[in-house]
Amino acid sequence: MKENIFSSFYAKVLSFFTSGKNEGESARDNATNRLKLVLMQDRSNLDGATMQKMREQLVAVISKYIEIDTEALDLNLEGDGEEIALMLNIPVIRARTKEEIEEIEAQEEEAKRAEIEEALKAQSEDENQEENLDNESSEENQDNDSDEEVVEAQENSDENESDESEFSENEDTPNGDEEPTINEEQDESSKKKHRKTKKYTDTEQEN
Amino acid sequence: MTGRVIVITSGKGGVGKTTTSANIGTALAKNGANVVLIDTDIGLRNLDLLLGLENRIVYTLVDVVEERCKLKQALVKDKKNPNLCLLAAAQTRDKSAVTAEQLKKITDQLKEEYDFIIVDCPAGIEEGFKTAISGATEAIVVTTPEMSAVRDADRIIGLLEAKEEIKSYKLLVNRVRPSMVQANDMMSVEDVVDILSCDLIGIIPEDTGIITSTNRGEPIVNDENSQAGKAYINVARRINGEEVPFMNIDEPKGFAAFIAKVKKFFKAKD
Repeated sequence: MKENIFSSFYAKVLSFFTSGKNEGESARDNATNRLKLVLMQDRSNLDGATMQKMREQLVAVISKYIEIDTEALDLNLEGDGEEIALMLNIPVIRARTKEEIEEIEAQEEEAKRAEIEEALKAQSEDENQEENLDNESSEENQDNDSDEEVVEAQENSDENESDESEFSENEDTPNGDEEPTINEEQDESSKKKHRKTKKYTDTEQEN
Repeated sequence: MTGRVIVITSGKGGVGKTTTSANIGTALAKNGANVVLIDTDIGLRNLDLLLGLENRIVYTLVDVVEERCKLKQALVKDKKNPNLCLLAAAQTRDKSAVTAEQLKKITDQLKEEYDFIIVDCPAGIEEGFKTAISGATEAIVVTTPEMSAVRDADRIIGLLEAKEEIKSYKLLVNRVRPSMVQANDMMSVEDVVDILSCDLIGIIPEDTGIITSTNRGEPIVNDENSQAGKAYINVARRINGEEVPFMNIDEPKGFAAFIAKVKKFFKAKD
C-alpha cells in the first residue's frame, strides 16, 4: 500500500516536470494554427479544385527541370495577419541533367506540333463534313419530284455515311503509328472529334 | 427618438445567441432603457422560454407581418421589467414567412418608441440571417473559443462587413473556461480576438448557472452573484458607452495576467 502511494506520487512529480515537453504542440496552439490556415483558405475564395489544378500545373513545370517527389508535395496558403503567402514545399529527388531537359523540351515541342496539326486536320474535316451535309440537303430538295429518285438520294446519303466512318478511322490510325507517345490532351481532342462526327451522322439519319 | 437596432448573430448554432439576447435585453432594461427583444428564429423559437414568457404569447412576428394584429398587440411585457418586451417568433411557420423588407419596416417602427431593439438571429447564413440583419445598424457576433464557432464567426463578420447599413460589429466570446486556457487546452479570448481581428464587447465565463436560469425562465443577469450574470451586465454597460474593464474572472494568477494582456491588446489598438 505504502509503495503504491509512493510510486503514484513519484509518477505525478515526474509528469509535472516532463509535461509540456513530451506533448509537443498544445491543443490550444493546435487549434489556433489550424484555424489560421483554414480561415486563410476560406477568405481567399480558392476552392479545392482550383488548388488542385494549380498544383498539377506547377508539378508539370517543375518536374521538367527537377525530379521531385510529387506524392509528398505540399501546397498551402499561409499568412500572418493581413499578408497571405503561397507556400510550396517540394522534396527534391535530384536535378535533371542538361541533356534530359533538352530531351523533354524536344518532346514537348513535338507534342505541340502534333497538336496543331491535329487541330488543322479537325478543322478541314469539319469543313468537309459541312459541305457534304449541304450537298445532301440540296440534292434532296431537288429530287423531291419522283419517288425513285428520292430512294436514290437516300442511297447516296448512306454511302456518304460509310465514307465518313472510314475517314474517321483513317484519321485515328496514322496518329498511333507516327507517335508512340500520345499525350493525354491529344487523346482528348481526338475523342472530341469522335463526338463531333457522331453528331453529324445523327443529323444525317434524321434527314 | 431613434432607438438602436442591434442584431445578435453567430453563424454556428448553440453558442449562446438567444441567451445573450435575453440577458443583454434584460440588463439594458434594468438600467432603465425601453427595450424590445425580437425573436427571428421562426419555427425554432426559444427566447420566450429563456424569459419565462412562453405562456403569455398570443400573437407573433408573423401575425404582425400578415396583419392579423397590430404591432403593439404582439409585444409581450416581461414579468419583472415593465420596460422590456418580447416580439416572439411563430413556431409553426418557417423562415420564409417574414422577408427582410417586412422586418425592417417593423424595426423602423419600433425605433420611434424604444431605446433598444435587440434582434435574436437564427443560426446559419441563409435567408433567416439576411432577414434578421435587415433592420440593424449594429451587430454583436457571439462565438465560443472553439474552432468551428470561430470559423463560422469569421464568415459572419465577412457578411456583416459587406452590408453597408451595419455601422459597427463587436465580438462576444462566450463560455470561456479559464482553467482550460491556463492548461493550454483551449484557445484564449486573446487568441480568438487575434484570429478574427474584431473589437471585443464581452467575455462570458462558462457558468452552470445558465442552465439553472434557463430552467427557471429567468435570465442570469437577475442573479447578482453569478459570474456570467455580472459579465452580461458589463456588456450592457459597454453598449451604453461606458468604459468597463474586462472582468477578472476568479481564477488563480494566470487568468488575471491574461485579462491584463487582453486589455493591453486593446489599449495598443486604440
